[in-house]
Amino acid sequence: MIRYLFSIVVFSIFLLAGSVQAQERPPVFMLNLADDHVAITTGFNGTQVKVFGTKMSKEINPVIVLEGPRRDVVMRRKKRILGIWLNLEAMTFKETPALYKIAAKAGVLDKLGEEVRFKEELGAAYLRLTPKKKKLRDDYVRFRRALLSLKNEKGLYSTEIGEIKNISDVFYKTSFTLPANLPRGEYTVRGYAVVDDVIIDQQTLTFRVHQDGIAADILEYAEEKPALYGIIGVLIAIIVGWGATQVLRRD
Amino acid sequence: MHIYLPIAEVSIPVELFLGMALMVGFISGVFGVGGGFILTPLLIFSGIPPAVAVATQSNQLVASSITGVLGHLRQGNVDIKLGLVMLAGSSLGSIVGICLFSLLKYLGQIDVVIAVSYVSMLSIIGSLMLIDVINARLKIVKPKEGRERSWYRRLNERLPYKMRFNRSRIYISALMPAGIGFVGGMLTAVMGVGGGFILVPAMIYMLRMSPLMVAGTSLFQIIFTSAFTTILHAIVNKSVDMLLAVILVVGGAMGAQFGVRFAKYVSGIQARTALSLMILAVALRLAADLVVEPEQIYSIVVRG
Repeated sequence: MIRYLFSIVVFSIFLLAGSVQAQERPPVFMLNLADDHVAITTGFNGTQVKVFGTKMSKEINPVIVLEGPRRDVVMRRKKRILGIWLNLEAMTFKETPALYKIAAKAGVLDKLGEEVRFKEELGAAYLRLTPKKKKLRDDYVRFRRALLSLKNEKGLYSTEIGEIKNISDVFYKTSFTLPANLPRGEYTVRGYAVVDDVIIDQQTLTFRVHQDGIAADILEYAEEKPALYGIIGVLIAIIVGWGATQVLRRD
Repeated sequence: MHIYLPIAEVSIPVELFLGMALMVGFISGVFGVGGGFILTPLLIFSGIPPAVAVATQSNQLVASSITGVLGHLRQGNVDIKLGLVMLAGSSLGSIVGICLFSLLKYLGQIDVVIAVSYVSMLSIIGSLMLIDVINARLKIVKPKEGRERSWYRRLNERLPYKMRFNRSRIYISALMPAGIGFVGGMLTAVMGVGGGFILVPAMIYMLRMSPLMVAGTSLFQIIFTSAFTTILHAIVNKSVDMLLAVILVVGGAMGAQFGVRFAKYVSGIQARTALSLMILAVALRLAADLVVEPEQIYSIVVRG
């Protein structure tokens, strides 16, 4: 209780100080990205997302969450029937982030407490992962565990908590590693300013992950003009097939 | 050199796939058949998702059939009227096949269905070839077929819409070639094979066409069917990987050229033995993959 009051007092002082000399003091907490987009080229093998920012004092602990686009995800489970392994069971999870990483100084997240962590989804294990249809609890637990485990194996979710480096009392930075099989789309970076066990401020930024180069053009055609794409494919096949006979006939 | 395939969403060594296509093209050059039903399983073994393998293979099929068709057209071995009737059937078959494909994909069962279909088909073809070769080695001659009316001839007499096909010199119900075409279309759509191994015997025995006309007309049918199926796959399932297709087409076309030249030096029986054994080996491997407990029983599919 005392700690809670203490943080409120500290926060109020910061707020007052900030409002009195608004132009000269830095804001309580600021978040910045080194790049506002990631281009996946043909030889892409993963990259880093660099996050940095300012905070008003050293009491403030930043917690940074990186999330990929949220989509519905179907988990399937194989079972053996008549000797063959078939996909027999399935569960759909709504609005699942394609990628999830978190960074914070040691102990900060634990101090926040389970309730806050679940509410703000701080940590891959704390993602809500709502099933689309009502399921038995045992089934839900199994599928949920499998989802987190598979995502972890693919390097898309991280059970580890990344490091946040304090460059000084007011500057901090961190970076996230993105794997080679990076899903495309809009990513969000959520930054929280935490004092003791209270979140005092929050900021969200977005950046795009998109494909670049020949692969991107091909994909775009395939998705947006599929008939044309198919026809071109057939034409290429005809031309190359015919060409090969002509070329080798000259021998 | 590794290339990332945008639609298959895997990174592949180009040389491996070029080599596979070359080898399969070579085989098809030597034997006149083969290609689709060997290449598609090989693609699947190499990590290409079955749905993408089937769709991309139908694209490759267009290229490998082109040379044959042009040659046959020039020599007048194509019964165009019959071919068009078959095409009517196969277009419908492709559409039905693609719908089935999409449904199975949505249900998460497409991989298993493709694998099971291939295991059945390859084991039947491989065994028949092997039996054929064994008979030839043991110099067993099969007795001539009796003169009784087989089931398809009786069926043919009952069916309506009889038409005269002058090139092939037959008078049959149009529903028969259309029906054969329908089956061929479905096979192309669901399995990515040309269907020649079904079309050719069916046309010889059920339609009673001369083998020469069968060769040209079936190629005519296959080429248009695979082109149509490729476009449908691209539109409906978006699973045609153009980059992979180009690699396969180039390798396959070159391999076929070498194969055709090499055909003279190959002893028929030895070659057919090797081919039948290889087909059976592929069938066995596919079956094993179906039956062995997978490393990971869970899988993720992202929707929307």
